[in-house]
Amino acid sequence: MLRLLLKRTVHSFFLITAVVSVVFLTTFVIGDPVRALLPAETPEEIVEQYREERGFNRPVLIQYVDYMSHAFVGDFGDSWWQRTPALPIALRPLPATFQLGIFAMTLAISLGIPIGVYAGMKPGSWADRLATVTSLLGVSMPLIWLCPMLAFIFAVTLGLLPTAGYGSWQHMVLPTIALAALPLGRIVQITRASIIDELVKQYVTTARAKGLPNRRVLVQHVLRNALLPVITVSGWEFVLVVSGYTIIVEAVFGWPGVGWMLFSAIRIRDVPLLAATAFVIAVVVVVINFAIDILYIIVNPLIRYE
Amino acid sequence: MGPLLEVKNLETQFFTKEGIVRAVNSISYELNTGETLGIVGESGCGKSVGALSLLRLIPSPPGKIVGGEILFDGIDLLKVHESEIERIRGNRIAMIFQDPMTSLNPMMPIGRQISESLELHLKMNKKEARAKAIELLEMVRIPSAADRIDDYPIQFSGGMRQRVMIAMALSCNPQILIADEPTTALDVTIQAQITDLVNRLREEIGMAVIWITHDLGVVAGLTDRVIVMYAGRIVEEAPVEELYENPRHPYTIGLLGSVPRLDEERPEQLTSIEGMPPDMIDYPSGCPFYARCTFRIDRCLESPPDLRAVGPGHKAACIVDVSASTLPSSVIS
Repeated sequence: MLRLLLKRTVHSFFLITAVVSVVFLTTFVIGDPVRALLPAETPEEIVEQYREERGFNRPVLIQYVDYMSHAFVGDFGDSWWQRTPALPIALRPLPATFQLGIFAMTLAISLGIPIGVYAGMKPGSWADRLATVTSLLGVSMPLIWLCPMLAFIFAVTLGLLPTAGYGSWQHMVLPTIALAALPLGRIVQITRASIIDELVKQYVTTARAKGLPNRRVLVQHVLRNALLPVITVSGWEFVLVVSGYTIIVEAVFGWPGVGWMLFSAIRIRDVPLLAATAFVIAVVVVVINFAIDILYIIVNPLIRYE
Repeated sequence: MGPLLEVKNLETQFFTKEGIVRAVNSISYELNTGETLGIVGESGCGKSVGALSLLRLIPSPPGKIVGGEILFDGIDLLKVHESEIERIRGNRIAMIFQDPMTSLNPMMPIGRQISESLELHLKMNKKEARAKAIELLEMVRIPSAADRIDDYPIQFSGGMRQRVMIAMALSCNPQILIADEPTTALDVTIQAQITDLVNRLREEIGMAVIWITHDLGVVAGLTDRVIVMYAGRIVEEAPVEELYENPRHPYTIGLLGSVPRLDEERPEQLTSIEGMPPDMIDYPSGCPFYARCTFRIDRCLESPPDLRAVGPGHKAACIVDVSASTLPSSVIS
């Protein structure tokens, strides 16, 4: 257990280093950061002066080592937009994203597992078909279409909820639904498939042959085993929610989270802020993955023997 | 006193897309207290389905018991409420299965899987059930049982897992143990250990055993009486020695001819039965063995033959009076 944690920590360190390196490559090496920063008609000598001041004229390798050693202690430079250190700015919207992400995942899990279990117990029934079609819809609907549609129907046409913004619970409803759609669909699918797989296993017959009522067979034997893959998938979905889906959802609904920050940093070409935000997202992904691994070890005692 | 268990005209079918699979076709037999009954037949002959039907463990859908009676202690197990049969399962009639590698829940410590029945049927508390589970593991000769009670199935070998299954099945001192090919998946030496174990415990507990197998060698050493099944029907029933010495159904004769025997002075050439068992969906209207039978006559096609007495305690479902030494000549009129 301890060895596994140590191994994962080393892994995580390299992973984050790789992410920061890629960010460095794409922002400082490919293309010209100085030209991106300054207006197009800036005279050449001012561009050169800028380059000199910020060390962009040094060899790439030197720049890289310099950049990484600063990044290592969390220094991504000052935001070009706010003129204060970029990392604290990138961290500030994190709670808003987690608020949305946790609500969306709670919704997806608390609806997805019961629906998936029910559908898996009665494959082929009308309830199962409904669940299957709806979940397929959920996973195949592009967010870029779903978000505006939700805003159009519930905010613009029906006027029930605000189109965008942050503050009251009403502001949370649409982004939460949009964010939950994909994980919900996938959790229903995986739970259903997993239940169907487990129910035909021989140990279920053994449990029934013991005289256990069907409900107890389901709860004490089948559910625990069937939910193992659901835990893994839910973890991945949570990672996708806070690191991917939110970028679209927050941008559409004006939710001041990490996704919105990333979107803004790109729009205003604030390279240090973009790098710091990417770093924050990478750390979040790594931390969540770590947490899922630990959770998985706790719920699956057999992992110790594999 | 009547028999402990009486099966009458049991019929189990599976309703599949391809059609109705007639897995068990009107089988009837009895089981007496303390007796060991062997049910033999090849794969797909309905012996396992018939056994699962006894406790209504057929997966439904697609399976369904469409007819018959199963009388146990004066009640018809096919008519009682689900909660009633749950009180019998694992308590008064227990079952062990073919593949010990998959029969146990991989995610649950073995002790818990045993104590579950004890808490359910014998109303023991957790502590009592755990102590009893250790005792049961010792009974089936699991070394250092107290240390291994919290182990998972993955930490046991196949033979050990089958012992755990047996401990589980016998936890509530059942009157009947249904053993559905419990040694098929095991090595020969382990097979002997398991059959010996069941036999010893059967004597200690005084339970009746239904031993389902395709292994005629196991049947010979273990059972009092044997039922031979073919295509979902019982084709012959006899005391074990009688069956080996004087088989009266062409299928049984064929089966015995295909098994090497060590007790014969001059081993004969082994024979095989030509052809394949019939399609269980497009089920033949006459004798199901007709197509493969060396004794067949035209009248065999009229209707499936009923079991008829051919000797003391000996029944065969064949209208031709055959034995290992006869040639297809004399027909019962």
